[in-house]
Amino acid sequence: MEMKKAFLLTVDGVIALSMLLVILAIIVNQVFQPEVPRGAYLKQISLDTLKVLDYDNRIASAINGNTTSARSVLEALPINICMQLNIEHSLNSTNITVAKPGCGGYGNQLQTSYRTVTVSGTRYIVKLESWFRG
Amino acid sequence: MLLTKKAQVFTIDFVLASFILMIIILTFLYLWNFLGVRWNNINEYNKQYAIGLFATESLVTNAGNPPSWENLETINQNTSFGLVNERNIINQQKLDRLRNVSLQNYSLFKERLGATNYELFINVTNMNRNVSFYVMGNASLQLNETVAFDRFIFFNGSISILRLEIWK
Repeated sequence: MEMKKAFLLTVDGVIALSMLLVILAIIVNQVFQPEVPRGAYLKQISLDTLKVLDYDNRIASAINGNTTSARSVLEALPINICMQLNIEHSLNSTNITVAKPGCGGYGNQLQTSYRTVTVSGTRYIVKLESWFRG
Repeated sequence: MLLTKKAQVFTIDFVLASFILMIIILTFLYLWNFLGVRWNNINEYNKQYAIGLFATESLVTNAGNPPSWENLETINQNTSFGLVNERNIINQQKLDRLRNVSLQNYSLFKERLGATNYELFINVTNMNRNVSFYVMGNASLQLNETVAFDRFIFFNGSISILRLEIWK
């Protein structure tokens, strides 16, 4: 009878200790998980995209109805990065959207960047949303 | 007789308990070591990532120090590299000089970009990545250990891509 009790006590202890150590390992793993700072790169490449699109007059082309040249830049992005360009004017109904093909919905680390551009004396607000493909 | 039996049971119990405890401790040590190795790998990757991130940012958004460093007779420890006079708009003279530095003194090239303990490779291509305009540094054959950064630039009248690869 006493042997049985001792055996149960040992099994109980083993299970408790194992669970304690596993839980401790999981907690430590979660708390001290170093993260890769990918958001900074996304911001940098978003600002690059706005700059070169504007500099090469591809935003002006999109406003004038040709969105192909702007889209081709978005298509040249690294495969894991998605972007959507939105050109708006506050007073008229201009609302042009150019998106990288094959990027449905928003993924990880969504970022928004803005730039104002002037085309034919009219100022437009360009919004660029970027995210990592999920 | 009874006392001997009790002592024997106690010994078996003790050996069994010690054995189980040892297994638990060893498993935990293995798990702990596994996590440690994993954290080290992630930290090493983060360090490599940060160096590459800052090196590309420095190249495509700064003129360098001094701003006309491409005209210097000799590149020294106080020189920092930048390839533009305006964000993302590449100055070809700077790019030419950087390539010369990478060919003549690869260690200095790496050091001035903050990557002393790593290998660097820079490739300037067209937007479709099928024509290479400039290549400098040391390319890696092991893709899984390489961290790459693609940045849009305006070079030679068209949008191009500057790709920096950092590896160890």
